[in-house]
Amino acid sequence: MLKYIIKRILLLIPILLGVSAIIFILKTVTPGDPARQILGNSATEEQVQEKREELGLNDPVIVQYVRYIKNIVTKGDFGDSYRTGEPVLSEILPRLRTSGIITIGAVAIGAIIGIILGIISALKKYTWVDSLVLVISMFFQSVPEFVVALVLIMIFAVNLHLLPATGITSAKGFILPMLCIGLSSVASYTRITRSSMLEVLGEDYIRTARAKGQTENNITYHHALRNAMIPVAQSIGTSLGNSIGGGMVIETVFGVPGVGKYIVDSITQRNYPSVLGGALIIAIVLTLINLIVDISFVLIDPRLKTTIIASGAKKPKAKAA
Amino acid sequence: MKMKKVLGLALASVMTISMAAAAFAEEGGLAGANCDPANTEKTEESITIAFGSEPSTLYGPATGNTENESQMIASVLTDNLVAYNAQTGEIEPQLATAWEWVDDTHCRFTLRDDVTMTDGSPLVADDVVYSAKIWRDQNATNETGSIFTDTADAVADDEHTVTLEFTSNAPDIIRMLTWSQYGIVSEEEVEAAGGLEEVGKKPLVGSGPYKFVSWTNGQNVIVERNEEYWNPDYAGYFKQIVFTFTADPAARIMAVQSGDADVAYAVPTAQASTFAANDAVKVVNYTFDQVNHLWFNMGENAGATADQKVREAIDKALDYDAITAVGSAGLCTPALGYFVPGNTYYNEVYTAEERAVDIDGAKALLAEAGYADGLTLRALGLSDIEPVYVVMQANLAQAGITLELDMPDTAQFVQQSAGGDYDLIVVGEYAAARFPSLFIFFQNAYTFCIGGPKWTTDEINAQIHDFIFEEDAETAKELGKAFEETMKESTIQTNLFPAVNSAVINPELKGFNTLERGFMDPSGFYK
Repeated sequence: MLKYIIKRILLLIPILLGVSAIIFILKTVTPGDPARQILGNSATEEQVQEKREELGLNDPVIVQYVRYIKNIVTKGDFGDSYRTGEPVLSEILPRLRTSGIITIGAVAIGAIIGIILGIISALKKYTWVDSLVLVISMFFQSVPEFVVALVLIMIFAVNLHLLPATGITSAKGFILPMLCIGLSSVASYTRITRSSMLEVLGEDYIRTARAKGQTENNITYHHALRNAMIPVAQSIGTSLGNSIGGGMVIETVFGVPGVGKYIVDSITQRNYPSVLGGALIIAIVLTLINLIVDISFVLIDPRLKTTIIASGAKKPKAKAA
Repeated sequence: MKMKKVLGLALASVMTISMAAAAFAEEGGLAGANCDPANTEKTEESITIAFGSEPSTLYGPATGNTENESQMIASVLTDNLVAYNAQTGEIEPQLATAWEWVDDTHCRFTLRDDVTMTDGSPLVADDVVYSAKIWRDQNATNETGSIFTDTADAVADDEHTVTLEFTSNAPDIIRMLTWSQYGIVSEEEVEAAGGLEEVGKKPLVGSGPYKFVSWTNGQNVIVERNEEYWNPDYAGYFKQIVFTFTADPAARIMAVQSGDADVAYAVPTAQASTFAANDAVKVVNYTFDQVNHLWFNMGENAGATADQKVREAIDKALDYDAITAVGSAGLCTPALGYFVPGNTYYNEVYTAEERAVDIDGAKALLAEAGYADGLTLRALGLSDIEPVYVVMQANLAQAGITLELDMPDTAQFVQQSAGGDYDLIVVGEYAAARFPSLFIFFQNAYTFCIGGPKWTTDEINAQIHDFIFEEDAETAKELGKAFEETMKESTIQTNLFPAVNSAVINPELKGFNTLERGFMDPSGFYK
């Protein structure tokens, strides 16, 4: 097991190097000169060139990349924002916290609603209730998030005056962004829960439980649900990782000072250190969350543990004839 | 083609009708800073102003940064030597009670003796000297530093008299000093804040009607009324101003609707006008001395637009009424001069008849130029101008010109406009003072190749120099007209429409004022 964890941690290195290299390459092919962006239209070509030199933009890409990685590894330095002059890491960390809170809330909302709808759908399979649940969940998945966001603002802020329209000045400010992101993932949880429940409900041990005279409620919630939740829980873990930087549109609409909005703004401003730093930190968080989720499930589900141990075991040497 | 034309005209018609209900700022909208005489009270209330983006610094001159939001926030923290009264068009005293040009490049300012800075110290001439050096040294590449030479001097003649050296004694120099980036700070305050870089984050400087309280990154900037403000007539009505940042204009407007914010600033006029009949908000539209122009590529990379006949053909094919209806949300009439009416240099160079659509004339010119079978042109623009280009597409299609659009983000726009790989570009130009101004196009060919080397001639530069540096307003106007006639005769560019923008505000609010370039005065609001 320890070997598996070490192996997974070591695998993070090529993953992160790959991510950073791809972003670096994308940076070089993206139109727009950060030096010109910083200095403005009135700067002369000489001034722009001086700025490029100062920023190290005239060096070969590989030199820039190696320097960047070296600074991260040796100093934990993700560079300074071109826009503010502040270290990227210090700008991102508070935003990561905000995005993290929204992500956890959104995943919780999506999972709770999705699981409930999925159970109902499975228990009422092929009925009008099943179809209705499908339509509702697909609706939230189909409508673009920014449209849902504006509708939610209209309902809860403009009409009911219950929640703030934009910004995070109090805990209330988190609710609408969470709800918005959460609703868009309802369909996914509903489908996973439904199919998993249907699969489990068809298992022999469920038939056995019925034969033993257990009540339907007991069978559903005690035997079936617990086993059906394993793929759902795995999906929740993955969603946590994916959502951390995925709320860019929602953060922009709601004026949320999160890491997604930070990256979007930085892209628009050709603020490369911030884009690179933001993307890399998200990649680190995402891979770490995925690692934690994977390890957790290995510990929770004995079948996975057995598989890992079996796959890691040395093959017996063939006996000499 | 027919479909594009119909779409373009339909878009123009729909927008014109929908905008008809909207009106310009009820308060006049173009007053100077905090100058509404009705604003005499102080309250304990707070006002929230929603901007579209967060500035990177709160005292731009310190970091050579001239972002709009930064300047608007700074305008309530610092005062200037002089103030511009947009209602009278006059430059008025602020921290300086008087000023006089002592020679062609030096201006002497006499300072008030009753002004206290944020730290309680009195304003002295050394503060102006210190501030002028920041404007010069930190802003060599932007508009703030453009009025100084590299070695421009600033000397304190005595405690309340200071002489500043400029590039010239052109009339617009003093007007530029009313802009918010020329706020006066003291060296002691800057040092107390931790130096120039730190003062951009924590600007406890200046002598303005408000003092900095906090900046929560990504969330808001809070300032509170300066109870010791030297000019009680213009002290802030609101105890506190909270600046928030929401990129999406619809969300900003809804924040005002819900009562979370009082002002949604810089909302596209077309979007704001849909709220014109909504009682929960008030729409304020404002112009800001800027005309949008269509420039033709005549640079080294120029294609068909290098030929004057092609440029004239485009000029004839365009429906300026439809373009203006879309571009100004039905609020303006087509621009007949390079400048807006009321500008020092305004001349009506075109007549409305000259600007009538003449498709046959356009086709004839294209045929003469060797494009009888039509041609394809590329236009570069920002997305907010896309509806204008859509109308142009429809107009030009009738003359046999296919217009391809490229609408990148701002950064790419700046980059690509310097490349010259396109034929047309719509650029709004603020022309109340020299910068950003004609010089962008004609002096710095790298930045915009539109106009290009062909027109960056000594003769053209001399013409620009003549009218900008002319002290007599009438003569300046005549010289400006001569320059415009040159542009018209050679069809260097064509004038489109005055730029217009909107704010959506709490209907109880009064005192919406704009400063330079349409910048809002956050300290002028009251109820």
